[in-house]
Amino acid sequence: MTIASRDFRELRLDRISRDFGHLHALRDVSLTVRRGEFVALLGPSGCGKSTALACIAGLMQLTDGAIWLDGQRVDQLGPEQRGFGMVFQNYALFPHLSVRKNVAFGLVSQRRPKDEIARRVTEALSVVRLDAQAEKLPGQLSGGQQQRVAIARAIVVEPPLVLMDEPLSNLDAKLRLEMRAEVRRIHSMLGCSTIYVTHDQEEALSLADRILVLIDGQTQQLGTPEDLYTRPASPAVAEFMGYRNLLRSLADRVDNGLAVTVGGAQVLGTPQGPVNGTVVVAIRPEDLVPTPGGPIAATVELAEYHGRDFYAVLRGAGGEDLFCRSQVRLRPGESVRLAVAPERVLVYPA
Amino acid sequence: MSAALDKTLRWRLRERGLDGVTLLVLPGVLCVLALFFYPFLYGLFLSFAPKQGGWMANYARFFSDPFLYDTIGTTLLLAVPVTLLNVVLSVPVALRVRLLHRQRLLTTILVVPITLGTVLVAEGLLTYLGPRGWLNRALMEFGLTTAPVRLIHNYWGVMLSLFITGFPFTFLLTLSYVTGIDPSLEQAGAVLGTRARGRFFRILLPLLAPGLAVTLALAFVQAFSVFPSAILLGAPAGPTRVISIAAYQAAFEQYDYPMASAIAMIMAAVQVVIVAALLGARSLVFRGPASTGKG
Repeated sequence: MTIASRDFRELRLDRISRDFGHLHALRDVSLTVRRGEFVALLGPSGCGKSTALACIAGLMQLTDGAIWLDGQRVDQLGPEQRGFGMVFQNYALFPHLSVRKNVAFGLVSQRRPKDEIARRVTEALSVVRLDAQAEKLPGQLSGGQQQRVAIARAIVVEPPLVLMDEPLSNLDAKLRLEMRAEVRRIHSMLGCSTIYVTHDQEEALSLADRILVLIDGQTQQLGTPEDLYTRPASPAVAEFMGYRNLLRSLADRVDNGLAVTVGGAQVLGTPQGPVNGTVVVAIRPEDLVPTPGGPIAATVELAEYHGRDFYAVLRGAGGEDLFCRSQVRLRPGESVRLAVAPERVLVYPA
Repeated sequence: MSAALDKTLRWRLRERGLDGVTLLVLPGVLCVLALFFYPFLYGLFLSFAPKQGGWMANYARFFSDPFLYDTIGTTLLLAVPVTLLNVVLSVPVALRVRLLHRQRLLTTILVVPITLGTVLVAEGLLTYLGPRGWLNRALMEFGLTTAPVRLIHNYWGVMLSLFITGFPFTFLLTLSYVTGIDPSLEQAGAVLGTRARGRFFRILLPLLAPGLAVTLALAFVQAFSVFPSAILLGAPAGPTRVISIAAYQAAFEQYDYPMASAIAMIMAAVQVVIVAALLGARSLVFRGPASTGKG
């Protein structure tokens, strides 16, 4: 295997910002991507993650800040001078060129010798397992195959960095899982550094070494998937990481810790910062466990069967909705008692 | 029994997209038949019924008289360069305009010459480009020339008028083809290290080519049937004696309708040959949609 990531140590985003008129699409985002690292930019739509990627690629100018590739400042360079690889959300394959010519496009621009181009294109196509489709036009391929062509076209130029803009969002659920594994496989095979934009937390958790959560153009949290999953920095990140239950409550210091009210009952929680008075409590649906004699009394309002488990909306004694995921069968109208472990009750200052 | 048959027939017709609504095309078909096919066929037959001589006499006369057959060359000499000029110029302009925010304003300004019609433009040019017109007076005032430059009553007058009335038309067509190209294709080219020139020749031009062939064909037909400006701005007796003038003279000066019809048929034949060649060339290039991706 000769396709590899071009030698570099790190890409550094130094407080980059981008405004559109009065709108701050991106504000003071800093990030260092080391060689071989897979970083996901995660956030809801409109949070500035695609803007960030376009700025790194050079398709958009920065309003403020700088981008450094090792010692070289690259934010003033045009996209054609940066030498990054990019996979677009709609793949952006050249419809008039065969798969082979699409993949060869960047190498032709670099004026490589013909035999080298042929060899490297063949190799890239075998990395994405598309050898048999080389002579077809993009329009003759399925969505997943087009996706592979887009990846091959990006990696064949051996870029120091591959940028991916929601590459799986146009695929159906089954194919998305398949291609996710494929992206992971190609990444570990080539060792290319990757910045991957997505709004899907599961995708980010499963693929990335580190995740940068962007909301409203600002960095909310930067950390490993485990950090984000178990210790989200704020209620906003918690909501994004699947903490469906976000409840306002009053916090009381008690002998054995911090007590908050969930569903009208007092439970113990874990403070995530200096808390006093009003707080926001975050609990995952799967951490609310139906337990006989549990402290929280609730009535099942709605129960969805999800195959392996049930997803239920319950009404607590305090009147608020609680979301619960459980292996126990729950029926609408049924009264249940719920328990939750104190370390799974995250308490944020309101 | 017959009701059942009737139902299946209606069903089968509907499967092919034929039902009561299909009848709505009838008025349109009638118009085309009455206003296009009938005059065309009438002219075609008339051209084979000359005032004197055998049935091919009109065509024989046309191709033996240089005063007549030279009009083909004269017209092509006007129509081909101006068509190429219009289309070649409209591509860079359209590529630039695509990025503008005030696109509507600009396109409105450009549409004005189309709505004015060729006669008004020709009249305007006559005074503007004439020996005592603004252009010549300005040129002489700035000492750029000592005698007025002759721009009317010759080839250049007709050429300019065809350019002014033809450009907005080609531009608007080209603009619609250019905006149909997914901008992310060019971005993908740029990220892959391709400079603007390479992006134009390797991405935009191949995707534009089929549209440009159609634009060329339409612009050529328009220019080839030039008549008012060839008379008003040109030298209708000599260098700009285009084929439509020959037809006009046959019909309304010599009252020889069969000859005029023959000239009109020859004119149509030249146009058909060139348009067919252009559209045929289209099959040599990629003709699918200018974007990929599902969703």
